[in-house]
Amino acid sequence: MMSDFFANLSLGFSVALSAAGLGWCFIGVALGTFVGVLPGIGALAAIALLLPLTFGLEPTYALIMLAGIYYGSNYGGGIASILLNLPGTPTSAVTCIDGYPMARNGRAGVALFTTATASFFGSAIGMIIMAIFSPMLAAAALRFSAPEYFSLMVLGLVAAAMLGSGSPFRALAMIFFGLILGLVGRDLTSGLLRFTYGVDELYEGLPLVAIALGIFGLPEIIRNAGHLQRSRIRSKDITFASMIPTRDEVKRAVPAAIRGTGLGAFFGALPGTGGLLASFMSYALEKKVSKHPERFGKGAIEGVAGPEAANNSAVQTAFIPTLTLGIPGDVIMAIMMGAMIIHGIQPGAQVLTSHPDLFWGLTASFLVGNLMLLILNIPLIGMWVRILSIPYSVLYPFIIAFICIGVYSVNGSVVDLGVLLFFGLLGCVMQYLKFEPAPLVLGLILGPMLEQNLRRGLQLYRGDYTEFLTRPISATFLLISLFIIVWSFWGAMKTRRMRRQMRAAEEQAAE
Amino acid sequence: MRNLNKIDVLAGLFVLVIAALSLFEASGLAMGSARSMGPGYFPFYIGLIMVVIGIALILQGRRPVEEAPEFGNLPSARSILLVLAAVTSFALMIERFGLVPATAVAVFLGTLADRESSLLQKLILTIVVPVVCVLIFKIGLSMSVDVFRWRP
Repeated sequence: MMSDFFANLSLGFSVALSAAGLGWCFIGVALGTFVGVLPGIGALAAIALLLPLTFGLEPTYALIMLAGIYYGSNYGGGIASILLNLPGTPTSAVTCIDGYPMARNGRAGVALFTTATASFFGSAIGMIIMAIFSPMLAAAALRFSAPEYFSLMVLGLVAAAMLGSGSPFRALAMIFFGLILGLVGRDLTSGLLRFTYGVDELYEGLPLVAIALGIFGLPEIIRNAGHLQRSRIRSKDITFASMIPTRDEVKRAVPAAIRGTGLGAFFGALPGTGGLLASFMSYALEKKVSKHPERFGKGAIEGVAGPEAANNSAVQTAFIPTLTLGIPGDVIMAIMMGAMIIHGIQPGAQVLTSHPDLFWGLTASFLVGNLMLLILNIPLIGMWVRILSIPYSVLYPFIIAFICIGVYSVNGSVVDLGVLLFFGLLGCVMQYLKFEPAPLVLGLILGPMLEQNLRRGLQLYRGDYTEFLTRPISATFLLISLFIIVWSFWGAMKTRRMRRQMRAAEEQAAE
Repeated sequence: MRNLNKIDVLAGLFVLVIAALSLFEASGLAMGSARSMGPGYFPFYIGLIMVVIGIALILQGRRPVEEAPEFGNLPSARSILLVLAAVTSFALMIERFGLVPATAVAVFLGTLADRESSLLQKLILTIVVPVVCVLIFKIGLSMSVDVFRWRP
């Protein structure tokens, strides 16, 4: 067991520390930090935009680079949060609460240093947890049959969609819409084309890059063009010397980072929770255990160290279910999974046995990449600060061009640009009707596998649906899914009732 | 003050339209049985479930509420049209005129969405962005696309 652990890791490091491994990892984290710092490009759009660049690479290096973009963008998002109070990524919104006040108190350097080191610590521990638990989970999953996989995918979809914000009806509607979109193309069993409406080029299914950029990227540009203004920051204030924390600050930050790491590692591995919830919970926990809760919101270093560690350890452990079960916990992991499928690797328990170099190389690259980020972020912080001041009006024409060329380059097909356009428009309509795009993309990626496992399961058990409910593991997954659905409808009802009562009370007070 | 919740009703209709598309598509495909699912089986049941969700949203919207709920923010029609026009022009031009003209037109249309920037800035971007794109995609990544081409 222990010897396996070291043998696996040494295999991983031999891949991650090879010249190609190091090179692509570096390009990934540098690009990730770059887009994380830039305004108006989320991690998801960044990964989709840069995905075509990886098509020429071997799958292992492609994934190392894509993962680097993802966690690199978290570092970049932290920089934008602290210096401008503008979170580059949703998860770094928590960092704003105390990071920005720290910057205003003249402690910007320390806040940035804390972010970088706490993130590094969180992801290093997250990586170790991933290395220990993935083989166990994969071994358990090898005994899964079609009904278990079907139920697990249902759970993954339900958890990821319903635990997000917004109305449960809308989330459900978007899951099912995504499932339908996932059916577009050739049906594997009958060979018939479905939902292609005469566009035969779609027989391989809808192109993932075009969809992701259409539904997340274009509406973002449309919303921000001509509106997003940048404030000025003085890059001279952030010097290497200003980054060294005092002894008291270290004493407060270290335990916070340890607690945050624990929370993040746990929630990251669960479907539907991930980094956002983990960082919020870590913030709440730090405020609770602190002897000086009044300092929070005014520049408490614990409020930066805890959530940043939580977020980054969650980012690493989120790869556990994605790689070992083929169940993405959130939409970014879903895109990662889509990227694996494009590269010809079916995520699931067999990845560990059939592609050990990929799995362990990726795992080891997390440590390598985060070390690179530490170097990129501490001595070179001045460079990122200068990038922060690029105005959006200069930036977004580049993004439009990159989106168009990126989508076209995937298949060299104008049809893909049509898909981009269609989903851009759909994204705007959905925004207007308050539908969220994330459940749709999750449904789209899991749709084909969901249908396949349902079909296989029913075939195995002669069309008997009760098999899904009587096999203990499958039944457990379905029960948890049901519980989440009921719970989120109940929660939505409760908030509505509370709002009504508050209004009534207000009206009474007014009278 | 009692208002109908128009946004839920519209959202419900939107869901019903998709459900109808799914059911229509399924009607042209073999259903099969649970034991051996045909290509129409899955889309049919998804369509049915979406009908239920759509109706539920409409019913939820028809319940009177105290305050008229806000719609999600719709960006200005100008930005929507210009950004989508930029993508359309790129799609129409890339295989006829090549990378540089397609990118330049797309970028120029895109910059028009921003009213703050000066015409000079827009023109500079229209020249600079295609050059950068050629450097990255054609020279850096050796993408197989013509920089210029004439096949109208």
